[in-house]
Amino acid sequence: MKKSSDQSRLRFSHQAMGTTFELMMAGEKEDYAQQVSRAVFDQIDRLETLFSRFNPCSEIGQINKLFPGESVRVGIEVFECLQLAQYIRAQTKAAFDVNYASGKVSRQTPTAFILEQVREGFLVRIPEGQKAGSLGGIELDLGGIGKGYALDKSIEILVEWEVKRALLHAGTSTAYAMGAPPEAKQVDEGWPVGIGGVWKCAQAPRKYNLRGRALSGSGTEVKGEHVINPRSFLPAKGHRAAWVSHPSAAVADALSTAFMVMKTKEVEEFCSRFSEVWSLVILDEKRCKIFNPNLAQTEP
Amino acid sequence: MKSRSDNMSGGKWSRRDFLRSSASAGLGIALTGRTLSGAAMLPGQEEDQNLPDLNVAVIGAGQQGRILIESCLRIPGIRMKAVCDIWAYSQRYASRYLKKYGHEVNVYEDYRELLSKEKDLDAAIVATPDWMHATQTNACLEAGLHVYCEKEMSNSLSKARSMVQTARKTGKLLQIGHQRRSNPRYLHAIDRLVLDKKILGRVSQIYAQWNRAKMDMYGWPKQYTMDQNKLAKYGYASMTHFRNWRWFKKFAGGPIVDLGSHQIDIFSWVLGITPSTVVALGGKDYYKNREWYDNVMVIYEFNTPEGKARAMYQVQTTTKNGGFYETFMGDMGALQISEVPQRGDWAMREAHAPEWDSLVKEGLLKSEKPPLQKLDTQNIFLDVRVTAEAGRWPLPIDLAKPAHQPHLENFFNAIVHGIPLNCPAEVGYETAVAVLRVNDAVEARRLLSFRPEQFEV
Repeated sequence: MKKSSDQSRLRFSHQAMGTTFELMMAGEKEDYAQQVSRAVFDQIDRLETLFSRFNPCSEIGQINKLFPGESVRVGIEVFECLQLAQYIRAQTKAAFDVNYASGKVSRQTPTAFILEQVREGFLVRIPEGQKAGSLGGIELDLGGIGKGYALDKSIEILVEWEVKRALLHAGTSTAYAMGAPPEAKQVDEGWPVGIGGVWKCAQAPRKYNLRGRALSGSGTEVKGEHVINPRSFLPAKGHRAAWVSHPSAAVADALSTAFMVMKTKEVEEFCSRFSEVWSLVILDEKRCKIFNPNLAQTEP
Repeated sequence: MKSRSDNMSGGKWSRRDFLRSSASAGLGIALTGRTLSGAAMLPGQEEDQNLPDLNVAVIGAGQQGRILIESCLRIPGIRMKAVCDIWAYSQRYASRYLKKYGHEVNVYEDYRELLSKEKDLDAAIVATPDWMHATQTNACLEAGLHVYCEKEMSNSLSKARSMVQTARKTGKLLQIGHQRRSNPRYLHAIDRLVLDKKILGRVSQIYAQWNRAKMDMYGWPKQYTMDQNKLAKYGYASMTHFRNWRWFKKFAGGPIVDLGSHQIDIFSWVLGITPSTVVALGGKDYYKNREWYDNVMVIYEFNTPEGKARAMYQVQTTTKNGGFYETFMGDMGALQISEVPQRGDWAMREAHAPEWDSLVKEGLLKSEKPPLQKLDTQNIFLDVRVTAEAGRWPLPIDLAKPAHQPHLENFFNAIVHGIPLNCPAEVGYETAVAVLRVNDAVEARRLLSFRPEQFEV
């Protein structure tokens, strides 16, 4: 854990889930803030041991080894994550999918895994007829939702520790802020974060004042065309970049990936159905669109 | 019953809804065409476990207690009935977590009250600070419960001895939490490959380490600060002592116990004998406000029937370089193994050793391409290119479970089916003797001997 601070800001960072998480706090004593950061980062490490697909002992690693008809008990964390992923997959018409093998196999199977709540536990089952893990039927990767989920769980810890003013992000791709930032002039101020990336769309805000919500970004400018369209298993072509804000970081995380895949009309239709979802999508070098703009306090 | 679909139908899908709309709230979301709650059990739905219900209490719901709770929740048939912890934060965390899984538990501050009120328990899991293990374990055994007690049995050998005696007297099972003893990877590597097939030949050297990055002391949420009277009632001078008990001599045996004990336990398993001497150096060289040393290097000697063997061990608490693993070296090969497979999951064969291909055919080892190959088909003697890595022969077994789960399963199966415990009290005691002696050696700064009878109760 690395720490840096100045008079008004406390900032802690920690490597996990293949990226650097950072926690900034305002209005806390340094010793207390340090203890808070340890509790938060311990939680993130714990979730990583459950989520990592590179670790055969992790719950995701165990699921990926299942054969058709087999099931494995998982904890509530993986269950909740997969439950939300399945829901978002359905609502985005498979523009989001945590099963990376889905593009390689027949689309006839509507879902690669079944979630079941059993007596005093949770099960993940691979349906009969599904191809087994090593054959390409199931290859879960929570990379598009797990970091957001970790932020949501971390916020619960901040609340427990009675921290009221904080900004927490996962490798800058998803951030959540609560309370007012350091040196806020007004009590209802949000934490200013950059938005819009390198794109030159005149309508796009450059600054988003984040508070009580998460903001997640996905785009092609850093890692190139790294988002895979689960509908075609080809690089996503829906948008050059997408930002989504939502009260849940897991939802924002997943939708910013999905909106890279979805066409603009699909995003528009989605945001009209879900009024809590704010979004900015980049169409090309100069064009962009914003949906549910009244949800966000943005600045040019 | 309200579903997440209902939450979203009005276009509202708040963060609170998300957090509340977990499976814990019993929501029936038609993810697969049928509701989750009350879904019919399908044939073969449960894992191939054959455990009837066992009613279990957890005494100590801190960091380690939670790990054990999480493992228990993955074992069908285990019904968590009660949780005991002196700290309200841990009580709340554990009871709420268990409730999400459908376990309604009674919560206690004092284990004595738990034992007097809970009358349908089969077993208790003791995961409190080490200094309380003996008192609580003995009380549970006397109350007729089987006990899974976290290692170390105690920071006092006389207390540890009392646990062995109480288990014998009551006839109840006492499993000590050296969970590698039930890990199928360790069982295969040690019992099958090292002891049965003797692939390492004569094992004469062991090296193991647990290096952990620098860590600050644990804190606590302000609203969960225990008052001084309550802390004093349970033997703690302050919240700092309570939260960081591992660093204080009254409560714990220091880093060699916290980290080293798991691995030193394996030395005797592999060599089949307890150590004869120990020498160790360590110091309080980095952290200022802790009682225990923060680094220690240890050498044990073992008088095996085949001759002398030595084991070198180190714990560092200010660097994570190399992490944690164990290496067993013999004249025919070496085994590097770790609870985390990335750190150790393979055997290495000495060039003069008998071929291991037959082991690969039997499925006991995986084959990895040896560094030098005779390439008959290409009519060359050697393919000259980048330096080849020495051949590693990976273990063929994965542990597709949390690390503590198999040891708990062994305990529960011993209760139900009468199979032997993998780490009964006597074995745990032998390890405690070997490990706690390191602290004497650090203090004495000289070679200390063990007498064989020291390991017996």
